[in-house]
Amino acid sequence: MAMTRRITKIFGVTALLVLGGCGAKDDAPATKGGPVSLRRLTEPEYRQIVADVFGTTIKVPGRFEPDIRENGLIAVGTARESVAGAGFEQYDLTARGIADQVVDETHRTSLIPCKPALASARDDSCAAQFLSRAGRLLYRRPMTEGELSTQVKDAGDSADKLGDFYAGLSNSLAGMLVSPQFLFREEVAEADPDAVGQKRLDAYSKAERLSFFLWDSAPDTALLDAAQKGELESDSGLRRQVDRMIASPRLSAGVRAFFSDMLGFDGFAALAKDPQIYPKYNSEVSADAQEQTLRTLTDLLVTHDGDYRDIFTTRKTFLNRLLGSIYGVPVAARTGWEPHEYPPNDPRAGILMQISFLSLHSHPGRSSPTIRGKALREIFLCQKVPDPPGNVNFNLVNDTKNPAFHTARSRLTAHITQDSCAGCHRIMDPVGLAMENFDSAGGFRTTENDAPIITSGEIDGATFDDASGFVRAVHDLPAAPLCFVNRLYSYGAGRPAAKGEAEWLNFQEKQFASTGYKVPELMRRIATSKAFYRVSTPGTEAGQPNTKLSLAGTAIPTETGK
Amino acid sequence: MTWLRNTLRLGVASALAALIVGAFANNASAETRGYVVSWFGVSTYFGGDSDCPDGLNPMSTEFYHRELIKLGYSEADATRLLKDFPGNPGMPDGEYIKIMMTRGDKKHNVYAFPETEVDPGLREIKGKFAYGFNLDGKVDSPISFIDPDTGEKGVKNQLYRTLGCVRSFRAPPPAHPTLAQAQWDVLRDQMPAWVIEISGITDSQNSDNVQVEIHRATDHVTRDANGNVRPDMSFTTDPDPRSHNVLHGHIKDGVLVTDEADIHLLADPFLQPEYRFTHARLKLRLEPDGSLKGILGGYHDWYALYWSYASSGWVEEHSTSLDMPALWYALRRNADADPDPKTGQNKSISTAYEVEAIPAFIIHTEEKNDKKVSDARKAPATRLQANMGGGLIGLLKSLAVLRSLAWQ
Repeated sequence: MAMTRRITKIFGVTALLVLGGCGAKDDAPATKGGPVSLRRLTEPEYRQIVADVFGTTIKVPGRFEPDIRENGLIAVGTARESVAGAGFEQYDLTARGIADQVVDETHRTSLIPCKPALASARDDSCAAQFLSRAGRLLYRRPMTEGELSTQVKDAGDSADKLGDFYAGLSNSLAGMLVSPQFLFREEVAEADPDAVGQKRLDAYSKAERLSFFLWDSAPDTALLDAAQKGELESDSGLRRQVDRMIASPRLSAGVRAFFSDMLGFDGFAALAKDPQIYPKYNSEVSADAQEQTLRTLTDLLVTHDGDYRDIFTTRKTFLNRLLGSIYGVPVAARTGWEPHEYPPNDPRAGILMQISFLSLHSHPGRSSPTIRGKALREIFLCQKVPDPPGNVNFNLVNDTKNPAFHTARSRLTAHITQDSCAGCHRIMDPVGLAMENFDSAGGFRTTENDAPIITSGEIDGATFDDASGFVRAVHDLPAAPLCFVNRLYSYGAGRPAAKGEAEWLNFQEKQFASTGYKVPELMRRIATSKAFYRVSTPGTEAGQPNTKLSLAGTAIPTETGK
Repeated sequence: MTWLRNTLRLGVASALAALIVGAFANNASAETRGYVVSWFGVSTYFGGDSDCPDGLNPMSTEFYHRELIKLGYSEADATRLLKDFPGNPGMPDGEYIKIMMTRGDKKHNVYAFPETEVDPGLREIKGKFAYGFNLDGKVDSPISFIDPDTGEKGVKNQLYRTLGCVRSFRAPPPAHPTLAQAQWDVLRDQMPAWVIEISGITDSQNSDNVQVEIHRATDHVTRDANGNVRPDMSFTTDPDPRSHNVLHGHIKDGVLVTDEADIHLLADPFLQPEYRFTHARLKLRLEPDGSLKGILGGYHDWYALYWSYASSGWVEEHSTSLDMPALWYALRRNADADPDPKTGQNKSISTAYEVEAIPAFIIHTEEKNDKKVSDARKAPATRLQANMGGGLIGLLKSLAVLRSLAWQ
């Protein structure tokens, strides 16, 4: 795959703005950055770009290849992805379906900025107008002269053969939609004029990273214009664009995309519950549960600019009637969603007690304190829990009808008498047992096999008596906001934080705390930082840190190195 | 939701006043429970074939063959015409269908004009037992049944007597009869849900004074992962006053029985536009799992019931083996109430329908800016409930609901 390399140099503009005092000083510790990446578009990104460029009436048919999750994020895994033969066929079918719709009689008037002299013949001028405009948005940069002339020629040659200008245009557009320039987010480095010997992303790569980070889509025209004018190379110009994007309603889409990734919502595609045990749970519930959590998060963090840690304790959420039937709550809205606030004595609080987390991290026929505990530590605390050894006997924990062990707590207590299991279970189980009042489908319960469920426990030195105490303890865990900063940065950068960025992340976490754990402000700080766009040079790239964190007497490898 | 929030804002003061009054004026433990009907079908008692000493009614192939012979076809022709049963209307293999549709006078549609055929005779229930109510107060009348569970005498259920020996109305419990199940499946998915609200429950085993409301909702039922009606869903009542029924009753030993009243249920325009029961009552057991199971009994216009089966003509007749002209005559013969002043012909027939309902939240929005939400079960401490007469705890819970609904 031959990728065009491009360097945009705008030293003059940058220097002028800095000298003029317009740029805010980045007082964060310096970093050496990480490698540039080549990331395949995810399915949501692909769909969003098509919607942004051609409108929401264009259907995106077909299926996409599954993504890879690495270091807790698909955003990181996409840098490891390629396109297999079968996958390319799907991309091709999808591209042709999109292109045909764009040029059809319904859409051509609004999407194609000109009319051909003859609809039955080539018109290179008109084709160039359309393809250059669409290409800039699809490739996230202006097309090179060579790229444009190739596409115009393709459109014209096809029109000649087919006797149809629009069919030719469709053929050319379909080719662009399967090109690596579109399917892959290519980042390009350039020398940093402000730091001798160091590199940074070039303007269009910067715009691309910024846009996918904040909006989960390709840069819009204004951002591309800013990149083209060199405005992103100045602190003030970059801040102006970041402020514009953070003020936009589209920020919610970016926040939703981040949390969908962080919370592992792609796992719902393979999630199933035993309908005999959980008849209320079906694919509709699965979809609505994700939506509930994303609405809860965007309402708290974006609409109300709330404290990130409150995602564990907030009593405000949104419900529709389907979810109301599982939560046991009346929902007045006949269709759609309505806000709901749990009363203070309700065991439900925060996203850990929502159906999405509870059902995603359970077995099809029973809850799993172990899986839930592991998920909480890995997703929210960035702690890596080792996989179980291969020779573990799970018979005891799987036997939910064992008359000697009525509850999951009793079964797990017996299970961890095996030395090989005890270490990890002591880390996971107390956390997961705090959520045992909720079954595999997220339904509330107070007993299991007629035995009362006890949810008291301890997490990282903090004890709690019940689920309410548990979520308050998670809320106050220092590792939670630190992990979040790490996750958010990795998501935007498309790679795990490098060892040389640990100090910078630590600084950002302190800033995060000092500003009340406001997520949009954290996104602003990351998006306007130099570190976010710093590119490591050969020899300075460092692998992921893997230090140990002493945690309640047990050493757990962490991803952050904190 | 804007209109609802505005309504709530306007109605909060009056609602709070009502709540405060209600909190002290009513029994502190009174509950309101909501349900959605999950099963509704003709009540039958499966007592084995001894109920039908004359035998079960013939299958449609049998009575079609009989009718062809009556019409003068030879045995060989009748056999040939039915060779490809059921066949297709308008096609060669459906030649017999046209003949059957006008089998009375070879001119009129026999389903619309059943009197064009001489009564073919429908075999009827002659057993002692049936579910229902003693609607006329007479214990020892010739048409009286005995309730097989309670031993109560004087039960009137002439609809069961009429249909009980038709094969598609027979099924050993817990299975539902095929035709009743098929009808309910269509109704359930086609029509907005029926909801039941019981208020004034002071004790789920014994409450002397309860109010039972039956409404049509504005929403259809939804199904769970197994295809059954999903419990604990919220339903908004239809403001159409025709769909509101308010009954008075009592609960004794866990069984709710309502006083005699008329009950009007709007149903599906295609299959059964409405049910209009007169002198009706409900008998519903409050099951430990939170559901209701029992019967609705009353008199009903027998021709409306006939037409609910016959309107589909041959389609329903051949598939359910319900000989429509025979049914018409049997219903007319067994009708036992509401005589026509001129002819003396009874216009109504005693009936009983099985009713099952599962917990649901019922939301009233049509009543003077008030908002009332009934819970499906005895509200646990963690569940919101707005119970206008629910005592001080109910008051506090109601405030929580109002606040949560107004929050945005």
